[in-house]
Amino acid sequence: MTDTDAVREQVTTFRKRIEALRAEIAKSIVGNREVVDGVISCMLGGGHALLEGVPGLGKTMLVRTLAETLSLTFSRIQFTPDLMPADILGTTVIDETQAGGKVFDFRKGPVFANIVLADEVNRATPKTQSALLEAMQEHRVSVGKRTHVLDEPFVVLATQNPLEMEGTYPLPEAQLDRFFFKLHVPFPGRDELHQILDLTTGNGVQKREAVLDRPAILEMQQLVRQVPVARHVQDYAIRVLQATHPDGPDAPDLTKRFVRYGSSPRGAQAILLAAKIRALFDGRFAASVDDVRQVAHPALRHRVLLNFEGEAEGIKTDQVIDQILKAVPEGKVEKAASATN
Amino acid sequence: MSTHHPGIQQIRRLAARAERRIRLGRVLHVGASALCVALLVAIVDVALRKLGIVGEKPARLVLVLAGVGVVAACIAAWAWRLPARAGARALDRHHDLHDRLASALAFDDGADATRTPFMDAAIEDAVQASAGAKPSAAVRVPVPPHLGAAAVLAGLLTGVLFFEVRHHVPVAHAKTIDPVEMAPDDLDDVKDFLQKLQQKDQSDDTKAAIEEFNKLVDDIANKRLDRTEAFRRMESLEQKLLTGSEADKKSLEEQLDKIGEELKKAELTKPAGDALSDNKLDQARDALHDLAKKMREQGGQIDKAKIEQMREALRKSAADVEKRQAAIEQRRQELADEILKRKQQAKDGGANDEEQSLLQKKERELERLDRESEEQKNNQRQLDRLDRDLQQAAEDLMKEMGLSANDLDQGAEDINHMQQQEMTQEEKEELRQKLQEMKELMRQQGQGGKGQILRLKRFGRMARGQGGQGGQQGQGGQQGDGQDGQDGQGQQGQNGQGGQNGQNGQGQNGQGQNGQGGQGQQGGQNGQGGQGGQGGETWIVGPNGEKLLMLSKGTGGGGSMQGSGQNGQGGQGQGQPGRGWGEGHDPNMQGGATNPKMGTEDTQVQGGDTGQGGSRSQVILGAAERGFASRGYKKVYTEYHQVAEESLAKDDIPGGYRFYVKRYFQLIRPREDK
Repeated sequence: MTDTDAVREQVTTFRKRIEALRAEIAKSIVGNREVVDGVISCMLGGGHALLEGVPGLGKTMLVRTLAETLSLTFSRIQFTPDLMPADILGTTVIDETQAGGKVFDFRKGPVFANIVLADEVNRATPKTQSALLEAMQEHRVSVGKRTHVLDEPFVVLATQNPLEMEGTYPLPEAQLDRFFFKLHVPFPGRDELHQILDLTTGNGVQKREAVLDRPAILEMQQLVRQVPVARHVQDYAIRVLQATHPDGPDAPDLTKRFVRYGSSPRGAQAILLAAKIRALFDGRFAASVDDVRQVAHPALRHRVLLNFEGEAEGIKTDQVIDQILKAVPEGKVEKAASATN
Repeated sequence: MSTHHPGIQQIRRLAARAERRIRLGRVLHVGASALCVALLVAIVDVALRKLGIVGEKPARLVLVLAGVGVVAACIAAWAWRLPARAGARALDRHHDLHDRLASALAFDDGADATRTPFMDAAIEDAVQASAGAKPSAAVRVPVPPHLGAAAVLAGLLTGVLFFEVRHHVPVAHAKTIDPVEMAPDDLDDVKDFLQKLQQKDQSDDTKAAIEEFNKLVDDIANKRLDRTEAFRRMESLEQKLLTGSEADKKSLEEQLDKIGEELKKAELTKPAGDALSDNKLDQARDALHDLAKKMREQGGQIDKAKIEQMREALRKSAADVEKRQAAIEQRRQELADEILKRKQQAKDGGANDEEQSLLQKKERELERLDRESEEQKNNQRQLDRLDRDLQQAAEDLMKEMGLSANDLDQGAEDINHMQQQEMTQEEKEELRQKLQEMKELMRQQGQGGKGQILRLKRFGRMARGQGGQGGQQGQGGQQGDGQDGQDGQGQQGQNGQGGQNGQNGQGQNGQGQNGQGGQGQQGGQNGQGGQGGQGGETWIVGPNGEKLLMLSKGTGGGGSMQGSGQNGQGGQGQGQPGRGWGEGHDPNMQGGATNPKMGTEDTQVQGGDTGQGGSRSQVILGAAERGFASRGYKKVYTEYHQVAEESLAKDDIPGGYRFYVKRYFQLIRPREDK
């Protein structure tokens, strides 16, 4: 077997696994293919997702289903204003030994899981949010003088309600940037609602099974990073990223008018990783410009910050990104000789 | 070097084909746009060319540039760089290959070191995917969007090309001249003069000059000459007439005088010498003929001493001219040498003012001698024959009397010839003067403009009594004429007044003769005039606005009209033609102003010539005899004219006034009936 054949087999396996995962999730989650793929992409890309949607759309259900199908540890944290960092990270307690002595023992918090659901993350205080976000970024937790490494894969799936903003603490830009994707959970259509009602109001609740274990997920994460990206695709991703900045070379009028800050380079990283994952989803061996286009919205929408005028005008970042994708040409004459990845 | 995948070439070929199609599409797009622009330029260019605003060469250049521009645009569109892997990406896009081909090419172009199994797998995947790729489907060559516009513009250009701009080409009219005009009277005068001159015997030169003069007058009369050409021809004619000038004539007379002085010294040739000294060439000729005759008849009886004396006189007279010529030539040569010498001195050492002045004086003297020498040479040609004949006569005297007599006869004929020449010179001078008069006339008339010509013509007609314009002229009331004159306007017979022209001379000056030949029965009071009493005095405005008194000649018919004066005092005309000028004066010359409400009516009646009256010349002559002169008008005129001419010759009178006098006499000159 040549390397190419091996790769072919890996990609095929990857695709099969994904298909199996999708199918298992679909037992509980109706529709929302984009959201499901987005969440899976976040997990395979080693990132975290911020799910935004009104209550009752199945955000928590989605995360829970994912955890069940992946044979991974799962924990859920309901963020409230009185939630303390220790409630998330864990705390040191004085424990009595069998010998009668007393020792300090660290009790791990809910963050110590493979999949963490941070429900209504914007309701916690910034202090608590920061505790979680440190764990998200560093994949480890420091308590006292000890640092605890989190098990891989570590995926935080946070949710927030866009409507009830009173008594919330919106996530600061720096913390938003830590999320791989920001996924909008749309309101289901009529057909989807029918299916939801059928699933949830009858007796025939299907039991979900784990289709992927931890080693498989880690292997898939490794495979994702091997997917090559041609130079012109990467160049396109960069130009899209630049166009999110008001002073970027290809920035459209909407960006220039309503954007305060564009995306950080993390945005481009997220785009490319997600593009690779999408290529593998399709059984392809390289990411394409179309992949970049597809993942641009979830990867950038929380990284583009509107200015006051944009906020006042009710401009959505998705509108800005749409404009960018229209404005940025796919191919551009390169002054230097074309390079390859 | 990278190791290329075997199937990658297929992808490259497909990509290259796709790129070519992209370029072709771009060429068509740009070419159509450029063609539109070029066609637009061509339309404007051709239109400008057809309108004549742009020349042929620039227009062609613009067309060529427009064509070159289209070609250049197409070449540039073809050669302009495409985005990286544009062909492959076009194929990917069209066949929904998700950048498989473009990525495969990119991976294949990469270095081997960076090649991963994934890349190889991607290339193989792309090769497989490219099997169904079709560049022609992926890259459609679009119909250029401006093709329709280009077609429209092309049609427009064709239209402009076939559109004929009609230029207004002015019809080439024959160039007309602004002919110089002269009053008919003046032309008649000149013609008369030339006619008289022609009747005399003349030399060929004079005949040719007269003929040329005649032709000039004819051309002016027929309005074939403009002012410039007329003056040019007059100048040319004058130059010809100036040949043999006054200076030559004087010089000739001087030399003949010297010959005469020599001949006077001999008794036999004294009569001829006296005549020559007095410049009486005819007498000199006769004297020489007489001497020759005498010598033939009395050859043997003549005293030898006299003959010798005559021979010496003849010889000296012949030699004198040569001596004089030689002396002038010698003096001229000496002067020339001296001037040259002084000039050299002046160059070497400089010259003061005195020397300069002297030098200039010498130079002037040299010029004078040159002229004199020239005159001598001119005269010498005329005198040569006489000199030779006199010399021959002197020599023949030594041999035979008869021969010498023949020589003297020949000399006499030479003098005769010189006399004729002199006469011819006089005629030429007359011609020249007439020519100058004519030039002056034309100058004056030219200054006065056409208005003056018209006035002169009108006056001429009036003076000849032509055309019942007299009525107009006779509206003398406006000119301060007597009321009678006014009444006399054409009321032929009603008031017993004169013909239609009668009022001119009558009421105004009170000289109007009555019907009875102007017996002066105080007819002037009524201004009655005979039917022929047309002539009168008229003041005209001269070229410079000065008043000139003109006597005009009437031509009205002398009908047998009976007129009774308005006041009953006037002579009652018997219809006899007037025979003279009235003598009376009109006491009402300063008559009251014309009453404009008197209901008069201007009527113009052409005086009819019934043949019963005398001719105009008779009337004038009669008037002259009976009027202010007892002699014929022609005589009076001649006399007065002569006096005037003499005065003009003697006194310094400015040219302009001289002209007026001449003009006046010209206009009042007696004329022959035609």
